[in-house]
Amino acid sequence: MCFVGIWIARRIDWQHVKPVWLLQREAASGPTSPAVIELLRRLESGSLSRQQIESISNDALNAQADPVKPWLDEWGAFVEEAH
Amino acid sequence: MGDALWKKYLDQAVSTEIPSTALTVSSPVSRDQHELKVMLTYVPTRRASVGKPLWLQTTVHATSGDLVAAKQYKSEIEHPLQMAGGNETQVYRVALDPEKLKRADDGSHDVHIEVEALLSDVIDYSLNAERYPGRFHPMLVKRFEFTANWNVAPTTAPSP
Repeated sequence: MCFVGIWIARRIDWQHVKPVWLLQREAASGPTSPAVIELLRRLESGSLSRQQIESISNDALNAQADPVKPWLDEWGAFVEEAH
Repeated sequence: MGDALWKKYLDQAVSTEIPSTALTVSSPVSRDQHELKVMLTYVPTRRASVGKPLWLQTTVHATSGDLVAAKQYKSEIEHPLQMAGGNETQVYRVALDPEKLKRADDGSHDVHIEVEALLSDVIDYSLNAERYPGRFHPMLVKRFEFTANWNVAPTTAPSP
């Protein structure tokens, strides 16, 4: 039973099941491209609300304005896709 | 996404491309030179690498300076607003007033440069706007002011 549980856990793409707020937190905390890629995927699939899109776009703009943080191409892709 | 956020995104992208360190001046200038060569260096911006092509037209001119001539030309170039491709340099020659330059003290003088940045999703914006009036509109127009110090080369004493 335990082995089945581990096998299932390994096959799940956890990025796909994380809540938006957690992805946003991960994306804002550092140059974590997978979180932004997942947010972009959800935007393209139409699974984000208008409010979530505005909130994530704000995060992208904050990252864009911060010269200390490395820029993630995916932030730009999110904003330009959301427009 | 709201229009205000989109405008802010474009504004920040243009501001990243034209940093406060963009202006460099070729100095010192000898008294018979009558021109001050300045360079604006635009750096890669922060936007999507595979987004819709956007074009940045930059018009440079000298607005003032203690030895600057009254009549100045403008320099206009256009280049893509993108995060790849390296730096882009725009060279501009400030006309100096020959009479003022002759009488000027050796040492430091200043020049003020304005860069008007016009962002468009149409290539050759100026040409198209002139050819088809009212059809094209810039996405953003922003002005940047720069000040630099430059030196007049010391006059060398005539050799005996």
